[in-house]
Amino acid sequence: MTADSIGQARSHSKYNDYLFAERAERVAIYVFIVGLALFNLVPFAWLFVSAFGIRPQGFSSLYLFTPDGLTLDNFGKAFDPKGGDVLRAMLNSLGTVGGAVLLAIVVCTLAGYALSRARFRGRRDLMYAILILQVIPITATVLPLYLVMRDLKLINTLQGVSVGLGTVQIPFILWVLKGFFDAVPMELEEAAWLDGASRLSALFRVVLPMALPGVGAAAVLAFNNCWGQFFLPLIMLSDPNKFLLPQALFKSILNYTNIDYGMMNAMSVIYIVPSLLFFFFARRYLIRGVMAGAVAGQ
Amino acid sequence: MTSNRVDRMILLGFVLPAFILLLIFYIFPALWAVRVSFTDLALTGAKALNYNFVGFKEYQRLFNNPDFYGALGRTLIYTVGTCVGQFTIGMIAALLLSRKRLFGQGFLMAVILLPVVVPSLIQALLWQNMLASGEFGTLNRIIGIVGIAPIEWVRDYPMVSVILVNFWNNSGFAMILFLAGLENIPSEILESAQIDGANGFQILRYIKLPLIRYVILLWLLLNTLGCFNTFDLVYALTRGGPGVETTIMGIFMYNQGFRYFELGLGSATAVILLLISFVIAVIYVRFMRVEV
Repeated sequence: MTADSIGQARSHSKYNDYLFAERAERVAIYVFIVGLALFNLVPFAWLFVSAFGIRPQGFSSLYLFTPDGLTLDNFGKAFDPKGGDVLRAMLNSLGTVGGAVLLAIVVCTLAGYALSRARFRGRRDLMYAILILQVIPITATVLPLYLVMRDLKLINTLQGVSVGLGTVQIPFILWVLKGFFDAVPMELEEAAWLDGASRLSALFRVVLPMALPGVGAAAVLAFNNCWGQFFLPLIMLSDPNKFLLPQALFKSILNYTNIDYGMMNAMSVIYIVPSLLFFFFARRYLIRGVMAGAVAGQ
Repeated sequence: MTSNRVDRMILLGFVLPAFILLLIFYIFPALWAVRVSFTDLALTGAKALNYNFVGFKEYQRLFNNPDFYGALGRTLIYTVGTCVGQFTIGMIAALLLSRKRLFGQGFLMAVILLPVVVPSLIQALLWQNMLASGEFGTLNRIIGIVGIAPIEWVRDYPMVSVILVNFWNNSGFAMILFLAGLENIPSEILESAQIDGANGFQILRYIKLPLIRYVILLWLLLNTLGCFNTFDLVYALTRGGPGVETTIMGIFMYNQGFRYFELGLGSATAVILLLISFVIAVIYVRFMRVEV
């Protein structure tokens, strides 16, 4: 054997080692990431299995089971006015959250446009102040909000909850919409002014159509944020007829002695549908949004 | 000149509705809570109508109440626990994902982020099943695979349980933040470090982590803010129990105001929570360096 071929063999085995290490690393990465993804999916299994599945005899509905077949009975119980009465809660939720989003979008369209176009001293500080409000979670503000709602006689009204939820969304939507309005070129608007359009008509005829995708995106985000809110409706609404979906759901858990997890999960499936739809359509933008926010800090 | 002034008035008019709402339902409540925190207002009973200004008495009661410090301490444990856990899982995942592009990476990342958009009440419900006691509880079944005996999660390890639920909820968010930071590091820096003979750990310790320290700081501030203001998730899962073992600040405040009907004491708690949150939020916004 010549020295040359020994060298070749050695480097060949070195290359094999490298390939092996490469492959082992790849496998390790897959195991960790797929494991993490599974850890995120496992809890959802019970939700769907116990909502749609027929439970085997003698097995507690609290546990994950292999269904004996499919059924919609749990949804029947969930919609039954004497059972979960989910339809009423769903309409309450849709009305309240829809109203909150509409309110927030209307006032933020006007304010976002004005803040995008007006030049005045302290504008930066004002935008930072709004950002601070946005970052503070609702838990810190919910008890004070309750006190004011009480004095305004808005306790136990869906309108009160709607205004409260909508106001909490204002800082966030204001920032998003201002960003979209900033992107609409000033020249287009000036052309409309020369044609005699006022600020308001230029906003509605020229600027808003161009920023419409942004307004839609902000509305969808705000809807999902409001949809998940539990604390504010919990302390503001005491009449069961006015309960929102999360409260109706919570009521069925409070029934300590005899929780019907099948019905409860049917209600949960109904409650989670808008969030899942939102997720499937927006996940790419969601990831991109989080990443952009992170890099902005670097 | 006049038209300019009219235009300014119009723009001011556009801003007003949003700011009036913010004033009435956001700023004013915060100030109102400060006022109420100096009274002995109650939710029901005689003190609901005829309350008195009692100065700092409610704050004295709060600061002399061992339950308050208990809640504060548990909130700190909850915060530190979730920070350590999220950092470990999120950073490992981000480091791995930044090294190789995986098949189906977009899908996997989406799945890991999924819990973030799910209402927290649903998360709490799902984890009733995960943490259920006995051999059929889902988490007990999973640890049973590696031969660990069933654990009474909520009864014996309540704080660990709620921290675990928080991991599930937020690790994906941490992972994506860290990944964004790592992918933003210029590859020349890493290559030149490799050429200089730095090993993987040295690159991580002296190059990668320092370069993404702002991302880590932002995540840390956001997470701390979120932990101090956690209510839904823990309340729906344990209602602060067993006993008071998971009674963190949000639940303590709720109990004072709406279970014991002491709005004065509850407001004092809210004011302190609001102050803590405000300080963290201001630091966060200062570091964020967004363009206005």
